[in-house]
Amino acid sequence: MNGRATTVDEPAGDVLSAGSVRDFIALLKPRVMTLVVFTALVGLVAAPGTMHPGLAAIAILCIAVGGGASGALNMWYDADIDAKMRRTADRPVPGGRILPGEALGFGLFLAAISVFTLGMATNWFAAGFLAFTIFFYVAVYTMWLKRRTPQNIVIGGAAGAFPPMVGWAAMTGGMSLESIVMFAIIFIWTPPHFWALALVKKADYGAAGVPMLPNVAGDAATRRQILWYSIALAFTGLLPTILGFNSLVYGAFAVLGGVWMIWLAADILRKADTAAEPKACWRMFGQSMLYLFVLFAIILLDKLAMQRGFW
Amino acid sequence: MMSDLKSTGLTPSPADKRRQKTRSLAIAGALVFLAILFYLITIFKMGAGILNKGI
Repeated sequence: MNGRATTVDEPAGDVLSAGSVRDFIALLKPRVMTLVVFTALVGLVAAPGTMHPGLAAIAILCIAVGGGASGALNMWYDADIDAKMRRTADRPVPGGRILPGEALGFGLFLAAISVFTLGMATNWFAAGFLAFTIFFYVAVYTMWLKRRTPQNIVIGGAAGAFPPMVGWAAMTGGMSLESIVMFAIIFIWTPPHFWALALVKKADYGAAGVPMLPNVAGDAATRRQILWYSIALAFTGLLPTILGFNSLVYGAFAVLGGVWMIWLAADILRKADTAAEPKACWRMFGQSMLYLFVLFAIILLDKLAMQRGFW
Repeated sequence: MMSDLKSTGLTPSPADKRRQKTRSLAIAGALVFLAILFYLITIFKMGAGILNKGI
């Protein structure tokens, strides 16, 4: 009865959870949501066309809520393995503050309302794309891949990479090579980001039976994969300039960021099996997040500068 | 929910009642927000064209 504060006259099963509003907000994975919101915003603003600012704001809100719904459904399904990992054991469902059924209902309601509202506010292609993104994260990644293959984060990472395409679709009603390039940047960025975490949390993932790459292929193979993906990321980050979507100003920042990512990955290799390795992994995990935020911020600023004829 | 509790023999503590009240208020707030949101979507989508009606 952990977290259930009701006084009991007789055993009556789970009828009321002790979840607060804060617990329900935690179900939405607010930190992940910030990345979803920001990349979706970049996709929407970079897309050609105009839209009422109020509708644009509502579109971003819908994408954020859709991302939150994915988080809630993920926490509903993964409560058993979350309970086995220190990092996630205190999440609202394994912590006993929210009942699994509440998390499921909350997630499904938010998914439905976000998709419906996005369709009403913008277009039904974007709404369908958002629905597909939620489906991909919950069904393809959470239910199917996560517990079965070390490639879980590679394929499942697509779900986190779709938001800029959904933002683009909200503005244009379709997709384009430019939005696919934004998708590709996040898609390639995801594995090294999470594998750096998996290297330091290997025991946790092992205890939960999640086949992350270090648990299945070993630390050495994971470090090499982090480096290869970082090299691929440095190149992918340059595509907006190579393909003419962004200027050389963006390209210069992309080169710097790409080199920095490769250096961080090489640092993990250099410090392999030493006491300094966890710190290098945490640095990769944190600074790769910063890299993605800065890269997308520069895509946005550069695009705005190009649209206004600054360069 | 409260009637569910009574029917199962559970007595909500004051803390439970407070939490329930906060949750109910949050749900009410969310519903009001949604209603306003749908109004806004309608108004934004009407755009300036609403002023060009024939006499």
